[in-house]
Amino acid sequence: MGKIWLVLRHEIRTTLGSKSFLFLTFGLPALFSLVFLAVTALSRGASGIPGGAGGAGDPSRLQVEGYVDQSGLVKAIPTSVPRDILVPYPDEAAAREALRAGEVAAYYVIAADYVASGDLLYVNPKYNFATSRGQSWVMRQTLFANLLGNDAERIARAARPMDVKVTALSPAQDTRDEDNPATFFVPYISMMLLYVVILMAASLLLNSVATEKKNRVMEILLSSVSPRQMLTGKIVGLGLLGLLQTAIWMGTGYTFLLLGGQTLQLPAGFTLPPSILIWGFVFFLLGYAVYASLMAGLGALVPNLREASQAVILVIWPLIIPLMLSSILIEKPHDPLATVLSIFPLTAPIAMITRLAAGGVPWWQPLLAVGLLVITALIIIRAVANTFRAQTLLSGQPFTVGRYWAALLGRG
Amino acid sequence: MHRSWLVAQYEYKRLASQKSFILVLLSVPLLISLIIGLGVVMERLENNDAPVGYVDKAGLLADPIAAPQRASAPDSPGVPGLVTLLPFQTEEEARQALESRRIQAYYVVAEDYLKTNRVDLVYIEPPGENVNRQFWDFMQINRLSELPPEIARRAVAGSNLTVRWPEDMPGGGREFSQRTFINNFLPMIAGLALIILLFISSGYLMQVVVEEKENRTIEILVTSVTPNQLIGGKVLGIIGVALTQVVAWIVFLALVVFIGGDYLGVGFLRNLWVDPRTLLTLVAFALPSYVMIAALMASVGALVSEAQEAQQTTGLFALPIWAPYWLLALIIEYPDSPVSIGLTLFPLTALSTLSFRLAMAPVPTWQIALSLTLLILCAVGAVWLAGRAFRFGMVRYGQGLRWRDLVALGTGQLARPLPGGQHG
Repeated sequence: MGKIWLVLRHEIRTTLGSKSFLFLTFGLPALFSLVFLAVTALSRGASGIPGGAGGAGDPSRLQVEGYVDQSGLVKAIPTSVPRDILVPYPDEAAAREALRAGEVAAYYVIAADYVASGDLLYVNPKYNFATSRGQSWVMRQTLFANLLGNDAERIARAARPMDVKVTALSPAQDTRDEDNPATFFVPYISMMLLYVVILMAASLLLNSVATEKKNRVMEILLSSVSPRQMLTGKIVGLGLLGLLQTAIWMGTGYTFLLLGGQTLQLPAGFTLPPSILIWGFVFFLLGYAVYASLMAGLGALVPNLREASQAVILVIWPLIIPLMLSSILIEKPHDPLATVLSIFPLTAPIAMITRLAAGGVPWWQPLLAVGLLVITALIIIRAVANTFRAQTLLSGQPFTVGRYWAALLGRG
Repeated sequence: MHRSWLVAQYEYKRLASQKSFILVLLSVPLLISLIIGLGVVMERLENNDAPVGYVDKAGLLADPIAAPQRASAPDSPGVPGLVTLLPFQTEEEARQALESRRIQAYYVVAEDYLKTNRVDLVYIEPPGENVNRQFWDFMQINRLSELPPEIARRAVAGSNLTVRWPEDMPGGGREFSQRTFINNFLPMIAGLALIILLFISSGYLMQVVVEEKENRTIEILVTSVTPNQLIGGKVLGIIGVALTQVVAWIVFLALVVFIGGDYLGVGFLRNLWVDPRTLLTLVAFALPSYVMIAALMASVGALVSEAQEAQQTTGLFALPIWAPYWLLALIIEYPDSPVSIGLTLFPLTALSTLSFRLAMAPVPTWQIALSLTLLILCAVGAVWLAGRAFRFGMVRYGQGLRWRDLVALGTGQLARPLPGGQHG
């Protein structure tokens, strides 16, 4: 026990003293904060740019546009469209000239066979396909009204053909409120957070083992500590550092959320149960135990750090799967695929926390996932302790997948 | 020049036979297909093709008019196909069909619909977004039954909108419609692919230099080539490798378009098209960017003494090069803001920023010209700097890389013997 404590203290001290750890822990949040502040300041300044977001439905920001009606369909401009913002032109050349002279911001060309083809051309120099639709809704409304013969009663009747009342026959499963971005971002952020934390803490371990192996400190250490003591000390010590890092990151994020005057707009029915913090902690510990041990096993086998970073992908791919399928986990947390991912031990830490944050998970599922994870963690730690033998730790053989599995299975 | 050529040839052969080269060759097309595949899956998740039932208690839908296919818009990749609408006599029948999963949901048009506008929707799992839209259109067109059918259909379906930039502006005449939806993203995807390639190959160059330094090969090399020839040859070799990859990707893409579009009839592949001017602009920016980054990476490799240290120093370049991707939202939303223009002009961020801006909005010609000039000047400067770094760094061992050294290198201070350094 005393030796484990020594290893633990040494790990914490050396890691805290390393520049790259300090940069990741303090420098990166500071850098992100700076970028965040700059972006907020700039986007506030930039929001005055005309034609930027082109707020649909805000009449004060509507621009004057021209139109060329080759179909002869437009007889009148409906009352819902502000006056004088649609200017008719006899042909496209005239409209183009007006656009060049700055009289109109854009112009439309309604095709001669519009009723049959529906073709509408919108010439707009400010059009940005990712953000602005321009204000083409003005022309759509005008065309709609004119197709309906500008009959106010008919337009009112067709514009809103039904008021839907929804009855769901599955009372147990609450559905996601798609209009509220928080119901997407809360699970998504929980997922990313757990992913980053597990991965970072686990890579600290990989670095530590691979470095000590490379500069032969390992040889001296092994003369006085058993491999198992060393592994335990390292896992616990670096896990604590990982927690510290997370705390600092989350603290920074939270401060900035408050400073920016932004709060997550959670809908009335959407509450984040406090139990999720406890679950988050439990899944972090177990996920860390599994992945840190796997990384340590990797570190024990690779001859140098360069090969280590290439071999990492071998270990972390199960963690990436839930990230790739994040949309399914969030949109359909009760899909069989989501359930399987959240119970399978290697993907469970991330997938389960996402589902828990999305809500409505039966109580037995997280318990089952935790149980399976505990068993997996125990098996993996045992297996990795096996690889932590002088024989593998001191060899300089190149890393291969075959050797990794053989070592984990105790045949190395 | 002949010796640079020899170095380039050697470097090319060595890199092209690496396992990681083949990995990169395959990984980018795979990555892109994965992204597109995920998009298709998302689209499928949102829409559901199973039939939908309805019960008409208002007597409005005795002889129903089918809802038309919605018209296309430039901001959507496609219009979902229509689902089958099945009429039911009573709610019980509809409910049985729902419970036996023959339909995904059913609507009940209320008896007093004409007064209250009320329609009930009953489901077990929420139906796809396409269903909500289609039933809305179905009710709409059936309430316009007094109009001539083609007029009603057009009113409900809406307009096939095509947006065009005016011809007399940079990038002018470009059209946006549903057919070109995927094309809008191609400059961004091309930019991303070029940057990944740039990173991997120049990172590789750095590793090569460090390795040659570590095992002292470099000391033998400089007995027969000058440092400038060495760096020139290495950069040339890397560019050759990069070009090979680009050609391979283009061939791969052409094959996909050819097979998928012409033989399998995948609609959007047949319309795949990028403005050659956009592509040329990107390539014009990619080449000097390559030279610059490769030269900078090589100089780092020459100055540090261990592979691990070199890897950490890569972060110096990675940070600014990826910065536009962090600021993606800002650049997309405000492509003409000072930040976007600044990032376009700054050589390290020019390529990626431009790949977004060319996709999003017209970029003034003077910005492209100025940025390209700056980039080329920087590339020349970087090669010159790398030559110096080679001359002074290749016999430098056991010292970490400090900022001071980089500054000193630029001002020629490193010409003097290094204090405290071991000289090989």
